[in-house]
Amino acid sequence: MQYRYFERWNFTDSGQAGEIVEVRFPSLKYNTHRRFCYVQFKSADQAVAATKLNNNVVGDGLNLQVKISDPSARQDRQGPMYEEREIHISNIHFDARENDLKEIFSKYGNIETVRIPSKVSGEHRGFGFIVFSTKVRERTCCILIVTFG
Amino acid sequence: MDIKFLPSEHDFAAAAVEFETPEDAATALTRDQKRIGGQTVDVEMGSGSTIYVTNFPPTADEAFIRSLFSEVGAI
Repeated sequence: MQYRYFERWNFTDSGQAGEIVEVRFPSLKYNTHRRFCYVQFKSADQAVAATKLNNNVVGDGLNLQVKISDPSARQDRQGPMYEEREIHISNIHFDARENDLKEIFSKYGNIETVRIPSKVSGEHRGFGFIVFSTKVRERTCCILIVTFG
Repeated sequence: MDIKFLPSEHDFAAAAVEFETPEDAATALTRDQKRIGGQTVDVEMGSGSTIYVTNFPPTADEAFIRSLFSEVGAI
């Protein structure tokens, strides 16, 4: 079933198959969301030819990323969390909605997104995340007591 | 030192040898076209022969990745 995506990729100009020495996946012991691997070919030419698959669509609109492995080209992790723009809020009242959080926290900065992950049943779990457009200032500690009703 | 063999129909046709230092690998290159056990061996640098792959479906396993690349990279 999962092999159906590449049946149509026909590399007739490439002749015989690429020879793979090894496929290495990362350890999922601490983070099961890691999704990358290294594929070692018999020769550098084969690796270069394999990069032809870069940006090919596999599955549900996923653009496969294929690059020659270059440890010196590694990038630092990106995103609001690593840029210190994201805060985590726990113990949110179950009647509170994203708009309520937005209202309360907007005085601390320009809010980009507010997320309160919800369960399948529709109710939320009592925690949420707020992403500000700029870095959250110096460990500001705020205690807010919000009552509803 | 780490050796990985590539299985072929008859016997091992190729192997990837990883050395501790680039100097050791360069030394090994001097064995190119030498006869070992009645066979002339080809020795070439393996750097740049590894690719980094990401953004594949979460369900993908090693067989999926191998199928993906078995059709490309031929000489």
